[in-house]
Amino acid sequence: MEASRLIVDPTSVGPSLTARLSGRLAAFVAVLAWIGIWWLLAVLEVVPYLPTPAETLRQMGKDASELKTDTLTTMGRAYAGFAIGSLIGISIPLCLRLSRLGQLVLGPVIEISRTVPGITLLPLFLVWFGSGEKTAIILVSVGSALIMIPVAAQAFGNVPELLLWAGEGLGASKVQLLLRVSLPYVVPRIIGGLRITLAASVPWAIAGEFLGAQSGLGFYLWHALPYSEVDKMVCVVVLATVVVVIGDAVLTLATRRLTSWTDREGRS
Amino acid sequence: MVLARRSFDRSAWLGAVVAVVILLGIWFALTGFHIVSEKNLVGPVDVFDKAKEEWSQTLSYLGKTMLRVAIGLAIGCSIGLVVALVSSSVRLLDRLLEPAIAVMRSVPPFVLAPFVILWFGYRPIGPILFVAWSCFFIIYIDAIEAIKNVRREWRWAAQALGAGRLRTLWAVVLPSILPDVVGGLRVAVVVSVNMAILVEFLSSRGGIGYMLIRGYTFFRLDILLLAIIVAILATLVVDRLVCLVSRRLLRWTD
Repeated sequence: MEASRLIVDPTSVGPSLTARLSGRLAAFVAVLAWIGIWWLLAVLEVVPYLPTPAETLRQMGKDASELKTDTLTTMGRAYAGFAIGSLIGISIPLCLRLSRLGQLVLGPVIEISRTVPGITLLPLFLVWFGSGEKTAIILVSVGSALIMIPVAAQAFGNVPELLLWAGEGLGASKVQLLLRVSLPYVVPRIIGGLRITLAASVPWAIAGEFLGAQSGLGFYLWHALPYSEVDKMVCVVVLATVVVVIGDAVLTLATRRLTSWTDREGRS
Repeated sequence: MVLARRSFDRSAWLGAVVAVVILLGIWFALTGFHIVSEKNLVGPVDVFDKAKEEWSQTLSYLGKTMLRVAIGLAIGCSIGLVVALVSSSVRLLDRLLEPAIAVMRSVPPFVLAPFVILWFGYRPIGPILFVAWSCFFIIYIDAIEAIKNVRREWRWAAQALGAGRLRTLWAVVLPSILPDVVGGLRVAVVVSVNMAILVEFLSSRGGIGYMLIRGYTFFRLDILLLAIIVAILATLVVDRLVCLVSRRLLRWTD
């Protein structure tokens, strides 16, 4: 790290207020524009069987209490699985840093784990863990870990040796080096991966609820399928998106706190 | 650079072989000594027998899935790359597109899968477009972020040498973002296999997804495991191919 990057320039901390406001405005306009396009597509019947936004809202109102519990259930499963999975996904590469042999043998496994299409595991998990709460959370955890492991492994591999030498020179042990030097270096660099993982965790949870669950958005969607109840299906699309957006906002806020000591741009 | 810099050299190959042998050993031990009941896990031999018995059908299912993956991947990635490149040089377009795409990106593609069947029926165009849709966002975001890292001096130099917008994009921006985009492409490969299989879950008209559903409904673990292994191997092969081709293409970088 160059010395100049360590000096905090008060004018460069985060984007300016106007920039952030205009970003918010653009996002708001974008949402409105998409709703407008959706409405047009539905009213002009460009897309067959598409309910208008108003019809979707009406459907949501009709099933309000059911949808509320389903959304909260899916939210809980997705976020819990995300937390477990990303913790595993970060700890495995972290522990591997401690042993050369482990790295040599498990390194390729990590490389292969990147190419496992997680959805193929769904039927297997259903056989193993039955259907329900447990399966959904396990599926999300495994799916999240599969994304995070290669991301974290790469980030740990990129820690500058200079930093490690400096730590060693100051008498840090292997574990100390890992926790006090590598980990703080890695955390800001895996936030992109964490955001991708979070966005993926919601569909994983929904997929886990498809077969045999008793609640959740996936359960609701699955039962709308046989009769092609499009209104209900669109409700799920909207609510699932909301769950992703809320999670992303919370994660961004939390990580901004966590990495406030770096000169990372706080992007909204 | 996300490119497979640490590509499989000799010690990594050795490690991979050791890892696979260990995994197979664990699998043999778990089933051979009846540590796990036969209801939950069948041995590698059973899966191998099943593969021998049904290899032609499995291959045709795999071909069906991978063909959809390949076409969808090609369409989605090229559109994503082109849109990112064009919007990077037309400011107004970028202003309009970036927030619009950011909103659409938050829609989990999984929940759109039922609509694919609703709108396209069982025609193969449905899963192909679905795969393309999911890949588009991955490549677009990756390319947009990579373009931000292209050194402004290079663009200036190209312009000073008399290159127009299009030429600058083709000769300066595209080559310098390619190494980053390869990382996104590798992610897109796995995502598209997932998406293709998901649609096959719902449509049940052949493909690896159908094989998985069949294995699940009849509780045939040999079919299930065979489908999983075949899917992983196929994805691995495509991933290696992407690495190989990109390494050829990017030989000029460090």
